[in-house]
Amino acid sequence: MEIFEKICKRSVWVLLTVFFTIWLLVFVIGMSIAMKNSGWINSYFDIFPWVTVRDDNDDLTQARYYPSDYETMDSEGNVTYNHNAMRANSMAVATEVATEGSVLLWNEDVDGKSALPLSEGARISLFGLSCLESSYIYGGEGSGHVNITTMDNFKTSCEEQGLVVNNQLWSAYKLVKTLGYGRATGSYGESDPNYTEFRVNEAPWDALHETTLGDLATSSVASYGDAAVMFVSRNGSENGDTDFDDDECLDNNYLDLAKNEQDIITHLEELKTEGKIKRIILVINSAVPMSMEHITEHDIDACLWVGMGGNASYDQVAMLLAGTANPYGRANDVWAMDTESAPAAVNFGDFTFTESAGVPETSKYTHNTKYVVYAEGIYVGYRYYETRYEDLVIGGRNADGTAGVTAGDSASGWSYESEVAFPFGHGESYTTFSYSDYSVSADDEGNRTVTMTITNTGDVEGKEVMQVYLQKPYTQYDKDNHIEKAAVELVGFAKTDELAPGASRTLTVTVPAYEFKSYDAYGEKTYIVEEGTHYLAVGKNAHDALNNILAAKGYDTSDGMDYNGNADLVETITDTGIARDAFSVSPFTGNEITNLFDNADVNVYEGTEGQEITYLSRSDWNATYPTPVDLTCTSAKMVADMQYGPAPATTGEGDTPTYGTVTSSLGELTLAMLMDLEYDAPMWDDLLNQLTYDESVTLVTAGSASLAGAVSVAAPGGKSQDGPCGIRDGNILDSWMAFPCNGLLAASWNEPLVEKLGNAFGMEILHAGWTGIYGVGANIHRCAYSGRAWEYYSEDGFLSGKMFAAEVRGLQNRGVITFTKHYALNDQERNRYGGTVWANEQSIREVYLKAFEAGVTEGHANGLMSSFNRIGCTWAGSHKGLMTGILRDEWNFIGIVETDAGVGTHMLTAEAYAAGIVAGQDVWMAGANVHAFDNYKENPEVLWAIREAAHRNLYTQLHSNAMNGRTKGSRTIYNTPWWETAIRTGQIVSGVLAGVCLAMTVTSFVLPVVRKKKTADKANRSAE
Amino acid sequence: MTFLKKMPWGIVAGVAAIIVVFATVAFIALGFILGGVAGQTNEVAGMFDEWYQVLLFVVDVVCGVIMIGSIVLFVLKKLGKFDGKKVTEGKVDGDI
Repeated sequence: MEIFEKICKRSVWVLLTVFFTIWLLVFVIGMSIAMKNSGWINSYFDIFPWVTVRDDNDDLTQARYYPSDYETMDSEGNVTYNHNAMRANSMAVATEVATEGSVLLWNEDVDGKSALPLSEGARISLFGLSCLESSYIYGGEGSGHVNITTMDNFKTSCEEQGLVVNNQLWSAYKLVKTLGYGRATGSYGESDPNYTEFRVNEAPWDALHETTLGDLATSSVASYGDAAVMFVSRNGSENGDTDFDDDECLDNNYLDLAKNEQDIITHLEELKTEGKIKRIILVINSAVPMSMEHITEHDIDACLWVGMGGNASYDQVAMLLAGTANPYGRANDVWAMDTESAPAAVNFGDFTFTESAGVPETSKYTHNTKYVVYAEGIYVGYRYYETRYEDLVIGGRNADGTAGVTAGDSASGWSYESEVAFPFGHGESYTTFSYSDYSVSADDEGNRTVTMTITNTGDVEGKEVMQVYLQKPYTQYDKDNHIEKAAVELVGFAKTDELAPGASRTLTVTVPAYEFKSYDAYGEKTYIVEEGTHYLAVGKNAHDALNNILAAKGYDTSDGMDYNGNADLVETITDTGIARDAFSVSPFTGNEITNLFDNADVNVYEGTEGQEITYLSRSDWNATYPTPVDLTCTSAKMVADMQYGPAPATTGEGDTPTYGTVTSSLGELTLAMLMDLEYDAPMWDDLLNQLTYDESVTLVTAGSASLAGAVSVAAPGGKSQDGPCGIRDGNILDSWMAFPCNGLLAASWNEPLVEKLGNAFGMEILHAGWTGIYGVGANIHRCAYSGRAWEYYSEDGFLSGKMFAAEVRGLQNRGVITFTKHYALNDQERNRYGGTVWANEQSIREVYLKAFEAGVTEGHANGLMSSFNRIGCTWAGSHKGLMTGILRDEWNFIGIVETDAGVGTHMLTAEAYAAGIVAGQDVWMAGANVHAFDNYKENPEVLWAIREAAHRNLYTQLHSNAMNGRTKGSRTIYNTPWWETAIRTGQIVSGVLAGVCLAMTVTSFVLPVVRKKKTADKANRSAE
Repeated sequence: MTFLKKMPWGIVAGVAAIIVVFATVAFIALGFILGGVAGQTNEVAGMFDEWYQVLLFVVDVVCGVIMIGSIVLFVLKKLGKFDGKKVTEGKVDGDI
């Protein structure tokens, strides 16, 4: 008791006062921070605070703007979803796309019959750890990865297709897995410098004997020897490019065969020689092409590229093997002998300014001192290989030089056969086709209509793709003005339906005059259509089309061609009938087109003066082949441009927007009242006048996994989720749906089918209660090592654009807002946060923006996601040329651009916010910072830009599934999240306790004095 | 011994306890926040990635040790273990 009494003295009260006062400060400051990041917090706890309150008098049955095909509605407008039926549809469509997009790279004859498909009842042995569901890659890694929980496995899928699987070998592989072999799981990419999670870690042949099954594992193969099916998997990931040195793989190349994979294939070849197995089938499970030099050295009878098939993976492969589905895919990328042979590979990866004094420091999420230079120009993918091949045949231009030789005999110079395994557009079939009646007609505007008849000349039904390629003339003007022309460019395609043996189908493809243009960045600084001979050709692939063009030009094998082309499949156009300046104005807006990316071209940008680089040019392949580019960041201009912002000047002049005022003659408006109005209808001004300043800013800054609502105009807001190949979270049916990777979609070359998949995907999103999806993905497979290539379609902008447009048409049919990733030039993962990307304007427009252009102008995409990287020194989100010049002024985009995750300093400073909003950035994927623009409250330019961004945001919400169930009388209320209540409660409790303790502290000081005084007074009185 | 006797161990323990509480809260909160930020882009954030996380942890541990030590010393002091005169008297008493 004595000790207790001693403890409870003034020092205790002082300490408690300090303690609770600090708690009070924590809650006060914490509230401020939390409110600035409320979007993050809400998304973390899956809270969506904007709630719809319906008017009882409204007819909800008329308020179903974006229904699912799998829902029922009662008489009061209440909707019930049939998730099971919806999911069954998703699986069916996914399987159809996955099989249709698979590419049969080759299919040799075995015993007078094609190696594939296998006969019914064929007895097969599955090799490679990827035959197990634990190692097979159904989808890449990163924020788009979908965790699948309810899949079968290859064995059961194969058995369902009538194949008999070697169970002892299958069991042996399961045991091998327990020995420590197999793909690792866990963290990946930059966080792991050793990339251990990407390691193939295939078990060598001998490991099969180390299991308890011993020799039985391999001796059983003879009983299941109709086919040995070898699985090879390669991964890719956000933050995880695959250009790392991998000593377990041949040539240290992750995209080459692993040594243990080669070991297994070698043993299979021996078994085949011994007659124990009849055929070897290779299944490549990778989103990107592998290096084929070593693979093609082996005696493999058939090779299937199956991409990453998502939930449909096992059925996909089993059906293709059994022939219940045919691989109708055509390669969406060129397959090189060595993935290093792409000129883009030279300048892919990690590059740091050799000097960068004055540049903001590089940090985890802001790679200010990094860069990548697209020195290959337009020569990405097949554009490089085919163009160099043509120049090799024609002669000159040093096409036969040694620069760029990676495979074959380097001393003898570059050759197509040594460098390319399978061209872009390649794909074998289980049947054969013939082409006839090729014809081309032109209209007055120069648009071409290409017609051709395709006949199935084989024994089984099949589909064929009509691929149309254009060759534009490479003129002296081009050489003088550094315009590059690829030998062939894909400009159109169509696919037959399933043709029975002997059946024919006449296909028509329209090639718009728009495809005849080229961008002249250094001369006329706009698009031009040049005079000279153009060739419009079809072919089974890009190389075949080029050979046909060469045949039309009079070349043959005697000139070095690998085979003679067919000139009958070529239209030679000497006069396009298109004016040279026909596309110097945008056909979508009528605005003049001129350079917008001079600040991204090292040779033009003022800040890089004196650091000229050489872009790859067909004028001299050997002399211009890229070498690693060294850059410094030292000029005053460049260092200044690398600072965050720059913020727009505060002029203080001009009117500012009206806030929080009802100005409509109709009284208070709700968003739903504008349902039938165009974007620029005057009533929008009245609606926007009702928004408060805080609401406007919240609409702009609260984009983390959601779009904000607005109470004053009854805007619903909406929840968003990661894509692009399925919903990352959003568990319905206790399972997730992963759709095939986007490369498979592209390889299907089937727009209606991809739109159908978009529709199915859209219904998944609708059923899960989401409005926005962070997808699709439209960056370019600039290099096979891109970690996120599985999220993107192709190396070709035209094919990518068609697929992008088709998929978003399907998605938006279900009211989904599609934030397509990553606008723009985010074609590698390394140093993506604020790293600078340098490219010339021709390549930016013709290669990297082409897909986005089609998505916007043909697919009418309602959203985009801006990228982390900088274009030159300017963050993509604040690059006005990109965000407004191209997107709005040229393409007439009416939608919203959201940032990538708001983590980089270069995106989040006050200056960056202001620069971004003025440039045309609409929403930050961040946490609702109503103070983001506090420094610019007097700046009319910034304020009007915020209002315009809010306008776009609300317009997009209005035409999304977020409006389902909302009528003109519906209201929006803001439900205070529980965490906000908790913090406020904490403020009150800690404040009260601090007050009590303070009072006790004061008392503990005062009381002794009073007591002492009283005692003294008493003593004095006693003395008196 | 005089130092041990004169030091206000209770106050030291109290101050240390306050620091421990807030350092712990801050350490956990930082891990939570940085992990959340990293999760947005599928990065990985550890508990000791940043210098201030390490500093907080060190402060937390040091103050925790100080707090425990101070409590022990406080109790010993209250039990009179540092009172040299009293001990001497005890011995004298014992001798008697």
